[in-house]
Amino acid sequence: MDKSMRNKTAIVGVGYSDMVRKTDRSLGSFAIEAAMQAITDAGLKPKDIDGYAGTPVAFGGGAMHLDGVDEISDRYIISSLGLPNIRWALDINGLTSISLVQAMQALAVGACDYALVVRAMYNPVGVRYNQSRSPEAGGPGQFTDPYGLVPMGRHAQWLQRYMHDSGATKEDLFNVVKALRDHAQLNPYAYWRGKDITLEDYLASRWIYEPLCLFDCDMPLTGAGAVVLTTAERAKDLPNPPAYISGFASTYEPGEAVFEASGIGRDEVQAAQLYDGYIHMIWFWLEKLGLCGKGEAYKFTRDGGISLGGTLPVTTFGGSQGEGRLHGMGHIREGAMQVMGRAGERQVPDLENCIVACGFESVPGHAFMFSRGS
Amino acid sequence: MADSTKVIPHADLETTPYWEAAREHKLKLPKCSQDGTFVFPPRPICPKCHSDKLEWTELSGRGAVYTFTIMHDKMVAGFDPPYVVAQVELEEQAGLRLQSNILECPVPDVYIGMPVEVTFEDRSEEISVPQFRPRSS
Repeated sequence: MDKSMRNKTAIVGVGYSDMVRKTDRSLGSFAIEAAMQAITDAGLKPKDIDGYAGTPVAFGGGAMHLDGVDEISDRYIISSLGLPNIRWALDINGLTSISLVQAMQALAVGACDYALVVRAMYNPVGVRYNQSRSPEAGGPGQFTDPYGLVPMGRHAQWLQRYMHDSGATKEDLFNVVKALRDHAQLNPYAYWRGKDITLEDYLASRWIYEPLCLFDCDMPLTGAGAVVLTTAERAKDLPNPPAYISGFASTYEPGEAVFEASGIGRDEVQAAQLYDGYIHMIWFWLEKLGLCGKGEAYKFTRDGGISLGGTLPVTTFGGSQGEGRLHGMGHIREGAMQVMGRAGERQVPDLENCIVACGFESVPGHAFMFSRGS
Repeated sequence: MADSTKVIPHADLETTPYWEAAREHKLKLPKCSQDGTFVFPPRPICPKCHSDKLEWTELSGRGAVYTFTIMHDKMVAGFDPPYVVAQVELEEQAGLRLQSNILECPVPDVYIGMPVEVTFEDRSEEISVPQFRPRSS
């Protein structure tokens, strides 16, 4: 198991933007807002930033793939912020967690000293996220699109099988939706702040891909988030208490690996930021990480088990459901805020370690341990 | 009946034999001649023993619904919701699963474990796609 990255790097600054459904501001202005906030929060100036990692890709059949319009590239950020000292930059498509891995590794080998990670997501008006526009499908799509399956429909298939095998119900799934919605009430940036959800609302919401309904899906918004990372030595000289990355694993089964890499046991973890692009992914992550038994996550998430104050508070900022879709940036940011002790009303008391996990069933996932001590 | 409004597959260098077989209403996949593994999606080597001696081999076309979703949104041209997209596990090999609609079956009647068999849907003169429908046993 790779322990070479243990406590080598830390998150030292975080940045937010508004999260909105419709806007007359450019996507770039959201990205710049979050990036500048993260740099300032870290106690740094733009000239200090010498590394950059991003995941620019706009997903969905409606994506235009235009830099500055629905995607924000390294070039866009570097030129907009006038970062004069960049010596390492990398854009890779995927969830934001891939950028965190890249930034950690670049810092560890000395490719840069202060790395900025930005994720901006654009919600096009009048275009369905998953709409398919092409009359022909090639590559992996040749075996799915001719059957009317959009890529995300696969997640509904996995949930269907899980419910069949475990006996979990939609009422069980609502417990997860409700816990995250409650957490969103305590997050000033959350889209759903101020709006509760009841079981009746949930069961009445329309199907998207059955058994996934509208409120099982993440919230498509325009917004951005950013974090700044540096080496553990440099982190000590900056104003925020560092959120050390004590371990990470990038594999199909990161469950054991992240604990071995960090040397931190499951009983030493006080919170988990688990990716919730679709709400049942929280079940998958709880089981993948061994935080509960196989097929038992739906029981674990009953009775406030994952709520603040519960057995293991999960996705304490409201997640992609409650805060809004940022493909993992929100989870990374919240993990750092919790470890720094800056999560305000959402703060988990006496928190030393927080797991952050991004990804889903069919791809290698990324699991990180964020820790207060180094 | 040809339905040209639905998405049609674009074959490539690794998948052309699959779609050529489908046009003849046969379900074929590359099979490793060393250890007998069927490889899907089609690839140049066997992922288990790494042999490149693969032969396109016809399958029985029998399987069972492993899982499914009911699509309720109008997201793909030519498909009117609600419709089922299922993963069908073929009886030749555990984990060998194809996506398919379930034809000749009302949407609410589809269930996990349902026995199904292959049939073919002609999308044009040149293109037919494998589909599955219920079988009696």
